[in-house]
Amino acid sequence: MADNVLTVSNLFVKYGERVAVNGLSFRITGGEIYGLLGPNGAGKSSTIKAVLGLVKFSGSIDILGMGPPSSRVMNSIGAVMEYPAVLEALTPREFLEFVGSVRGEFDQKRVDALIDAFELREYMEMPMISLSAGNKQKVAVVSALMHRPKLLLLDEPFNALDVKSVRIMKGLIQKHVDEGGAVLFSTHIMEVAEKICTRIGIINAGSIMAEGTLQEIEEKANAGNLEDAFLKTIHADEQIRSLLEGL
Amino acid sequence: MRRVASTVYRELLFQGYTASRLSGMKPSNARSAVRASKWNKIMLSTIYGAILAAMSVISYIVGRPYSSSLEAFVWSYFMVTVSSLNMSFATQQSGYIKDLLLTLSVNESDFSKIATLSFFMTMDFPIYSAVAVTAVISIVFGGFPYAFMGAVQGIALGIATSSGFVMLSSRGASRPRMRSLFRVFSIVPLLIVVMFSGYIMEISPVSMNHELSLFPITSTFFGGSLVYALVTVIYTVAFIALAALLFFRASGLIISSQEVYSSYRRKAAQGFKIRGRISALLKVDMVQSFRSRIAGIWALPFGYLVAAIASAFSNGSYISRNTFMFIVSYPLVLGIMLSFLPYALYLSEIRGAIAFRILPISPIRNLLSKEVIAIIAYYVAEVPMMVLLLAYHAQIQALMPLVLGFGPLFASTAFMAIFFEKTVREGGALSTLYTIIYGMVTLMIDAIPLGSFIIAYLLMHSYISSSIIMLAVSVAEAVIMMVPLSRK
Repeated sequence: MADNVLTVSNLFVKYGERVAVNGLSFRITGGEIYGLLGPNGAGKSSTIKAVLGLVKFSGSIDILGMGPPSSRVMNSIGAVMEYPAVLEALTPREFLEFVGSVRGEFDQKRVDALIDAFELREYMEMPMISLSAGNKQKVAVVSALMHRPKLLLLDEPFNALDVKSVRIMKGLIQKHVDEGGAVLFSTHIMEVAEKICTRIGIINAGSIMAEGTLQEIEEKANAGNLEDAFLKTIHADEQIRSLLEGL
Repeated sequence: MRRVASTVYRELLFQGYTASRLSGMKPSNARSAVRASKWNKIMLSTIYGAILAAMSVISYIVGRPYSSSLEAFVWSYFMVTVSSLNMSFATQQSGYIKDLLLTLSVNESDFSKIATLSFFMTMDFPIYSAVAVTAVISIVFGGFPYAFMGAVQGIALGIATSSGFVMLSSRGASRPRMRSLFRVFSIVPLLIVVMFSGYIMEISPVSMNHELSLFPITSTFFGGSLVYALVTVIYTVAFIALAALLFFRASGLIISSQEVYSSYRRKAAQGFKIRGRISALLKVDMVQSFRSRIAGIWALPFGYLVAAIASAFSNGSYISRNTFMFIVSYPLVLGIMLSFLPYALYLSEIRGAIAFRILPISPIRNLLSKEVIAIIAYYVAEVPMMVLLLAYHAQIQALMPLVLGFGPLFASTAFMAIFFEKTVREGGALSTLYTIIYGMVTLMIDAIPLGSFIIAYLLMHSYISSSIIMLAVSVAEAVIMMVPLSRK
């Protein structure tokens, strides 16, 4: 059995009175892409933020056996957030230099290859605030992948990316798990989850409603595809039918 | 129309105040951020309106009514500029507001009215406060309305300054380095005005060069004479016209501009330059602060040095007569002023707060970078002053409070790290109450080591021992502050 890369047990995240994550538990092993699927506001981003230590949480999170999120653990993590997490006053070159410097490792060949793959070369000296959301997200992706992290945390990572970049990123994610890495991936796009996730956790109102491989989820929901299985699992299929009838 | 303008104003407040929309840090409490900035405006108007009233009334009571014109000018200018300067932040990414309004069938003419109204809302309370206070004072005390004229001039120039900065910030950045310089010096008018306020009471028309009666602002001092009253009125009308012109030009830009940037370097650099962790942080702190709108904070040590030297020379033998007071008060005031520099440095990263947090940067390491920058800023203002004191034949040991006076700043910088962590957790904007509490705690953190210096000096009469004690107390404070940071 592969080693646990990420173990989340009984996770709670609250924003004031609102419970965003309600006792979530799951684990991810090396070579696995775990997809967190859920509707808007289900708690996907809050879960990833908790794993990164960006929000206050209760419960336990263990990353690579090193305990909860800390600056020490961050060197083994690469994260791409829903919105590009970059320093907008800097140019992509300055930002990547900064990330490489604070991580204490920098493989120039790999960084150059990633820059070329995402066609960022011509933007390297532009302040990032002037770049499109897609190009900023590409810079964030390069910064997350450049140090070959053991765990990739991807929160709707394809937001604003063009088709070619999405395909390249999917390939990079696959390569990452082939080399033994692990991925926690949040999305609400079923096709993406269907194609790349090894295991899926369907989350709604902060709780896991179903978990397993694609086949297991579909069988459990008695559905022919992931979209139907998802809607049945979160009990939205009947609701949609009656809503459409009323329109 | 007013309701739409009010909605646009709230969006501008949010953009200007949190400046975090595109950062990856979704503001968790947008409502409280907007509420906090609205309360800031009301409190600013109330507190500075009260200061304006007190200073103007004192001027009349001590038989120097002309002083009230400059007091009113200074505080009105300060209130209007501070409350509306934030809008130059909002122009950064506010073009979508116009796009949204146009999709709602708002025509260009209505759009222009909405823009004007929403820009005015950023400064309305300070204007009402200054006008009301000075009108009442001028009516009650009678004679030439020194306070009222000063306030009108201050308001007009305050509007002109804020509008000017909005226009500057919405201009294309074809020369980014020039923009950084503009940002550095954007705070200078405010700094001069605040420094100036300390000397107003000592100025009298008799001792002033009479040619100043024909100068803008200072002519108000001579308003008791009919000719100079007329000169003052002419200048006031000119200021109002300038303010109106700039205000209407800027209000259109405030919700429709998109900054256009060019590259920072013309030629692409070859390869990447990898640094040590601390020096990488230092570089990013410096670059971010110079390229962001908080760059003006860098003018503080220079402005303070210039003002202190000017004060020393204008008072003749001030330094030699009041050596103890001077060498204690100089680092004291400098330390307090600079204690907000690290917070400004932290705030400059708010847009990228998540980028910092997903990297292996501990709060302590992040703090170290801010400490180094704060100490550099301290010595920028201290070293020339030490040279000046030596030129005034000060004893070497008397310079020790200046040499080691960075201690309180060192301690308050550590507190700023806690303050910042709290700010980020609150979605990029703290409530007014928290801001006031943190501001007061910062002052206390500065005051404890300074108090220990004064007590030690009174007991031991030794600059060296007292300075070492002050530094030790500061370091102890900083260590205590670092404990919660090290747990993160």
